[in-house]
Amino acid sequence: MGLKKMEKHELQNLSDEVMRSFGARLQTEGYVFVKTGEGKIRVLSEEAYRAAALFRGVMNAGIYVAKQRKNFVTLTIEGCKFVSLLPEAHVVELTKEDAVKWMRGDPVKVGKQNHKTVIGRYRGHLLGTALVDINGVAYPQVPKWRRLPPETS
Amino acid sequence: MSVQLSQDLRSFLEAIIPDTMDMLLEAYSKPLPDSFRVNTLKIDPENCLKLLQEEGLTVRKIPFTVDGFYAEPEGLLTVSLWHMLGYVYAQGPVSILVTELLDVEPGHWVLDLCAAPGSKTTHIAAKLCGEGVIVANDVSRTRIKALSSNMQRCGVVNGVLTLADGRRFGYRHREMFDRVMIDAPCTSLGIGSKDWSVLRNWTTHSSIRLSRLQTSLLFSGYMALKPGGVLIYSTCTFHPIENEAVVNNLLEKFEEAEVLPITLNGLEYDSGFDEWGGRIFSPEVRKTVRIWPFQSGAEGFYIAKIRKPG
Repeated sequence: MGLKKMEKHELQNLSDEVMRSFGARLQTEGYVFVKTGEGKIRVLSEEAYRAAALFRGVMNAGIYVAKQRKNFVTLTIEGCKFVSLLPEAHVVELTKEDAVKWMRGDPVKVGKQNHKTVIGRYRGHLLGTALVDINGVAYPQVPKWRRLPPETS
Repeated sequence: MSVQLSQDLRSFLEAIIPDTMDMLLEAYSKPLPDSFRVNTLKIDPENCLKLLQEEGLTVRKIPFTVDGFYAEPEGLLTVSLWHMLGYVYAQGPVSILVTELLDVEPGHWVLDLCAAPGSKTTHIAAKLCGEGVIVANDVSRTRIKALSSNMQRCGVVNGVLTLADGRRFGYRHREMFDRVMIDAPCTSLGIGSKDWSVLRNWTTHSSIRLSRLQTSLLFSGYMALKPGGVLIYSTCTFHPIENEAVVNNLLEKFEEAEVLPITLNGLEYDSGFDEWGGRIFSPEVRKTVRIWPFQSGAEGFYIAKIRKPG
């Protein structure tokens, strides 16, 4: 697998998309951002990037942080660590019950939003992003392997 | 229902631990305790433990580890929000100890040769604190998915995941790593309480067959080690042919290799055997350790710590 380092302009585009989608600033300093297909973006340390070039059979490196879609971007739970939230950031504060629902991948009523994409936060802990429909229901982008089992309360 | 042993296993245990076999069978009949470590790449232990206690978990330090904790009641930890966020990693107590014995420091280049599902890889990553590199290798495309997921959940930004035959890896990448972890595939007698079928089906031949693979992996891991570097060879099984004999093979091929003594904090253990089945091992092999489930109250392991001089 070739890890293609994002060009400066590509990184700028991503930063702009993150700002538009979430009102948050992408932190890129000290890390390498790479594209891995299907719009997926991974982040790794500079040393790991250099190391990855030395080995055969590299399947991936670093962590998956974002996915660029047609008109917006989504962030993974780990991706949220790479943004600094501005006061106007699109963050929805969740109750414990909603945070559990969110991590089950279930829809969560968050109220009407001015934005299609939001970051979920529970007691300061960022839970990744969700798409919000016109009725104010958020659909968390939690991968299946990472969801809380349905019976958890 | 009681634990059933294959005839081969019964004969082997009667030979290796004639006086404590009953204790082993009793340990096999109990479930392993729920244990974990805090993923310090994402949260500091103090805050994490508070969150877990609020979830109704009672948390107790594992006395013979630096990073490990027991969690009660059973089954609650891995379905908690904090587990899914990657703040905690459920891992056996002795498995936690094995990684601690590798003495990883920030800035090291570390190879985990048989890395899936990633318990030790992610622990090593936490020890690196984001500085240096952890190369997590596995030969199985299926198992590597779990490895990748766990590295993601734990937020390992300095990890490189490779799919390669571990027996060749070290020959292709000689003297590149400060530390190498070889937690080799084995007959898993040390975690027999998880799956009793392992105990019903074990044969001496299965250990002999794996011993060849384990020897190749250890040679390869040693090749990957920088001069002055340290490796851990571990298995979660007991037969000397998968353990002492493998280390002895290394000492015969690489005469300069040093077996380092292992210091365990208050945990009972047995020293490695210096002979088995008529085969005499190097006296150095005595420095390796075998931890039985009735000594740890959890898994059984064999651990050897080896240094490449330089």
